[in-house]
Amino acid sequence: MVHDFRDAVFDSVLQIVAKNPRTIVLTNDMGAMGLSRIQELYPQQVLNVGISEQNMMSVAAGMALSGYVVFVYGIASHITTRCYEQLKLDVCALKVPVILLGMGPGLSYGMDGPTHHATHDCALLQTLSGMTIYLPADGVAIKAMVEQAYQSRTPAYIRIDKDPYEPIYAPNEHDFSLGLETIQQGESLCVVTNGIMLGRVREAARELREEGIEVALVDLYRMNPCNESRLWEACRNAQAIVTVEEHGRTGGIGSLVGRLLSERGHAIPFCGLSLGDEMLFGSASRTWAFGQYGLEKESLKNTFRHMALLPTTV
Amino acid sequence: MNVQALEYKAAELRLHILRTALKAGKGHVPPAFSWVEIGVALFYGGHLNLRSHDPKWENRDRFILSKGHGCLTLYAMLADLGFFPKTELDNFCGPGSLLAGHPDTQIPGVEGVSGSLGHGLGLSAGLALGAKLHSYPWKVVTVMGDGECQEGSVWEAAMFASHHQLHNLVAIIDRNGLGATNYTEKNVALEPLVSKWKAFGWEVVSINGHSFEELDKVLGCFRQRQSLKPLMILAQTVKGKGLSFMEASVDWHHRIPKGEEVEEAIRQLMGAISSSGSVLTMEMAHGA
Repeated sequence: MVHDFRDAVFDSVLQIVAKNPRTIVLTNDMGAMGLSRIQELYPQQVLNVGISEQNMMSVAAGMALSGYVVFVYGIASHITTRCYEQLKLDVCALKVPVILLGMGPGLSYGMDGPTHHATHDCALLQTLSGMTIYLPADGVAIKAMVEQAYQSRTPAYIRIDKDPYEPIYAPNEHDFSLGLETIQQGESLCVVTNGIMLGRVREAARELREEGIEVALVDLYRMNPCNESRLWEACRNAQAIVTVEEHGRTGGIGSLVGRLLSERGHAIPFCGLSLGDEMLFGSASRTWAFGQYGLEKESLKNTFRHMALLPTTV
Repeated sequence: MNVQALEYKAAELRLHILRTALKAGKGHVPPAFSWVEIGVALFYGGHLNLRSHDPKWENRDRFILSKGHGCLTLYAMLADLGFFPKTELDNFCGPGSLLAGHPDTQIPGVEGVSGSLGHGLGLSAGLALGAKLHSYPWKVVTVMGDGECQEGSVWEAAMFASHHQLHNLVAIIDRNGLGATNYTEKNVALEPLVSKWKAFGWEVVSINGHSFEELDKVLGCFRQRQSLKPLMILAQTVKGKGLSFMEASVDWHHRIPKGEEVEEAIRQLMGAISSSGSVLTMEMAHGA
């Protein structure tokens, strides 16, 4: 069975559309099977606004002011960076229920060139007051997050990965209200990650267990607002911390955890793995880029091993 | 419509606007003056359904000032109509005060955050589409700048509004001919503006934006329009209208009169008030 984030998202959106006629999905000419299904059943509640991201966000805000809950579906990089000011002034300043469904975060579209790389989306959107940012790791999480964003009636951004996911959570296991979850305990090292990286990191950690290295794994599925006190509790007793993210170095999990440790005066071995900050040209597939930036499984294991075996005092 | 009363109100508001800017030592006076008659026709001429004591009344018309730098006119009207105390005008741009140099939604009566151009038409189109889909009775009116039409997002919204037949949307362009530093036609030419908007599927009416008769004629029938097109009112105006030395000048976009200019400005604005039917003393004009 293929575990597809899009199917999970649009299943949830369909349920919401069905129960609330004042819900609409806008798209900048971006298709998906699940979206087509909604359009067939509820043609009045799906609107292709054309290839016009700036206008799409202003229209979304206006429709929200008129009483709608608005989902906006498009490629993650296009519905965040292209229309950042509309998100700032029309969506966040007005505190309207506009929920961004960002397809293809990180290097999901790595082979399509830098126009399609969503590696700065979380950094940018974290600066917007009132914008909740979700990075779901599996279908259970993303369904819960769609519903949570809908119920909150405030701006939100949900990253939707293009690749299939590894199931992490059992249905109804969590309500995803706390912002993060320690999905496994471990004494040797604490790794903070989210999104599709969580499954990959879990696999690396599983193999290290055979070497006697026990990795605690934290799913930081909500980056804004970050539940800092809970994140601190999850990290404070670790011997070392590694952050793993498919995002630029600035404004991601590494920045967030690094600041948290620094503000609390907590001296501890720390390593942030990311895609760096340079723009990637050419065909930056995930396989290639993860190799370049130490994000593929063997490199992750090497980093985890190295960090777990460091002396405990620095 | 009582043209004399509206002319008196416009003259009075211009003096309030100037006083507000003088007290703060900042503000955009000419782009405020160019749409005073447009604002007065809308807010005092019976063309907008609003309740100052209930700014969020659900059936109010939605008014979006897309050219946020013209906010001094909006502030003066909202204060005069009782949306907030007139004393707030004295705190314009003061530390932590309600009224900043561009409007935001903390201010009673303000529906959008503007000042960066090219947002208001899209926001208005979204409001109008939401209202149309649910047959809400209210209308959406937005006042835009002409220089604002150099923003690409304006044309995205223009296409969208006509495609969705947003006949409940009225946009008014304050065609004062000037951007911040130069004439629009010297920066990046906008003309032929009428045919551009027509080509984008709008009904376009070009009027003298300082004539209450012409404003009333077009605003008076927009609720009963049969056309499915959104309505564009190209209001031909004069930037800095009301002050001879400011009118159509490239030097005044955000310059504040000083010294003798202040006396001359007050003399001219008081003269306009007198000729429209009232008498003010110099002390009253200075706000004493």
